[in-house]
Amino acid sequence: MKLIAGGVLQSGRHSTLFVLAVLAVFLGGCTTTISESHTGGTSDQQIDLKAQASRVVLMPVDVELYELTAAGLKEPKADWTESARNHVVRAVQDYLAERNLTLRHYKTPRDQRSADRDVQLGKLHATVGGTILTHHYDEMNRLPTKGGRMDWTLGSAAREMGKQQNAEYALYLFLRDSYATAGRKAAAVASSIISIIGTPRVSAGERVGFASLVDLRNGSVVWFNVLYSDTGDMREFDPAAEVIDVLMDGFPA
Amino acid sequence: MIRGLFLSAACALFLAGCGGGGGEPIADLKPGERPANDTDEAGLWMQMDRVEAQIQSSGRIVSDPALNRYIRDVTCRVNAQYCKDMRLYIIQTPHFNASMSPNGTMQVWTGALLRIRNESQLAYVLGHEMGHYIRRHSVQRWRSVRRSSDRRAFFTVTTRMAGLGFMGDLSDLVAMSGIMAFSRDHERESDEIGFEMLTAAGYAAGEAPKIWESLIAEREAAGAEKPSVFFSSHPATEERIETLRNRAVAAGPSGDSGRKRYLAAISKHRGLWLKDELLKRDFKGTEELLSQLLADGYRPGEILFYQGELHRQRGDDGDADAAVALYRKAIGASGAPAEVHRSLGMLYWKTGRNADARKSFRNYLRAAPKAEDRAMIQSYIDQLK
Repeated sequence: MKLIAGGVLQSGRHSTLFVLAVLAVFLGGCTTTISESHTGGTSDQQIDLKAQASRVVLMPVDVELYELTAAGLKEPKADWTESARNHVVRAVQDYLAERNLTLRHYKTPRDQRSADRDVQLGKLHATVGGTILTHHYDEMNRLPTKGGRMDWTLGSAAREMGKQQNAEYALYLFLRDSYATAGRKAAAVASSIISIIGTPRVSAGERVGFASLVDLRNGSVVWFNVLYSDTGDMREFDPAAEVIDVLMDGFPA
Repeated sequence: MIRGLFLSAACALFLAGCGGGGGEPIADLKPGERPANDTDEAGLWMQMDRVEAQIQSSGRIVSDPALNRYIRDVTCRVNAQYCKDMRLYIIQTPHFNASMSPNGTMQVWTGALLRIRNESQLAYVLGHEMGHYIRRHSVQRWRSVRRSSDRRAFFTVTTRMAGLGFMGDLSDLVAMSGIMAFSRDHERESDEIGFEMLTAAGYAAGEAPKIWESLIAEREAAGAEKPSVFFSSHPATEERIETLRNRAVAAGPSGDSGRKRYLAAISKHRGLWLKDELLKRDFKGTEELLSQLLADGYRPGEILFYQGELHRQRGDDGDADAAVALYRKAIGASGAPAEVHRSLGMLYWKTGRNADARKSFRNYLRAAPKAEDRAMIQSYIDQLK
């Protein structure tokens, strides 16, 4: 694990999300951005989307922004979420365009059967993504017989979706983001003063997320990345694009 | 000096927390209204839109168009203005519940439909849920929780500074009881709205308190250790029942309860819902429910069969004999499903009455010639020769 103080913290294979989160809390005042990507798939070949001139379909972005109240409750914010979603889509589009890759926006199929299939694929992806987070990022939860291999798949239903969406790969993004209210900031200040006598530090907002690339020809999850950051702002385009750059770190293109 | 600094930080926290204003009265949501995108209410809608998308693709949805149409029609009869804003989801789960989300996602659980006896009771439940929507109880509750937790954060920080840490715990208790009381007020308000819609639509007003009475009987039979999902959020107090009873008396002569229409709508599904009910393995509560349904008189053969199933599944001393007696009674009554012969056959076989078992299995195949387990039952008959 190498730590670049005050900026990007990139970690090796052996770190865990839990450790990252705990580290982030103890780093206190200094700002933290952490990402850790894994590449995988069922074949041993190195994947390079650029070399294959691949088409990537961006699945509906699962993003939600909250305001942190003084007591730490998360109030969902519809307007912030809407602008963050627009920023994320634009930033991903730019990121892929720089690599001469075509981004396709997911279109809900007209026939109900296909639409249902895609919803179920999304649910399956959420479960598989959670499994990857648990077993590849948390050292305590490594699967002994997996040997660290990233060979997760969504199965053959992904192929049908790929044909319909005219794409070889699907990109799934998940982001949760919170910002402190004035009251929360005051609590953070007050509790950092009291922490001398043993009160934990009060967080003033953070972004967490993961990105995942699925090969639609066989359903394999070929690349996966997680993000933890206590800086940045998804409500504005430029800082949101920076967050996306970190989240796309290690993308195979 | 340092203490002065602490207090000013805490005061900033307090002021920020309470700056949003107090619990000022909130206007009703208008038909077709959607909250402005920059409000806390829009945030709640956004989250519920996401939950709704999950519900839509759930395997637990009862999709039968006739049943959905029926409940939607009753919703519109209860309140024509708002029924377009309600999106109904019938969820297959054996507990009593109906719920309303801020965005108009209305869930009705099959455990509630099994317990409701007539259209008036259904109308009252739907009206009660619509009351939550119209009065915007979700956002009111959110604001209340937010306010009291902000105050609690202030109190915890300031009392810690003053060296009185335990006082923070005390304020937690005060804040929590405040939230609970607020929620009871909402239930009362929705009771009132539901009742007004019920009577305005010409339903039988006296049916409203009966739902609670049946539920309380069931809860008492089940024992205190098995609290219902419903009661955890809907405290059905004697006081609420009393209020509804008094209102019903004041409302004067009652309209038609709509029992026939209701039973016709659910008749196709009731057997499956009873089967699900037994999966809870809350035998005491289910026993009470089944005797209520038997007394109600609709399709007694079906209820007697499931009473037999309860004894067979429980398998305590004397249960096998009780089950046989109930199955036989069911066969003699109207509405018994074909499965009664199969269950009877299994019990006969278990007790060595092979000839009776064979006869019962044959009766089963005669009553259900297209049964999925036909080949299996036929093999039993062959073994018993």
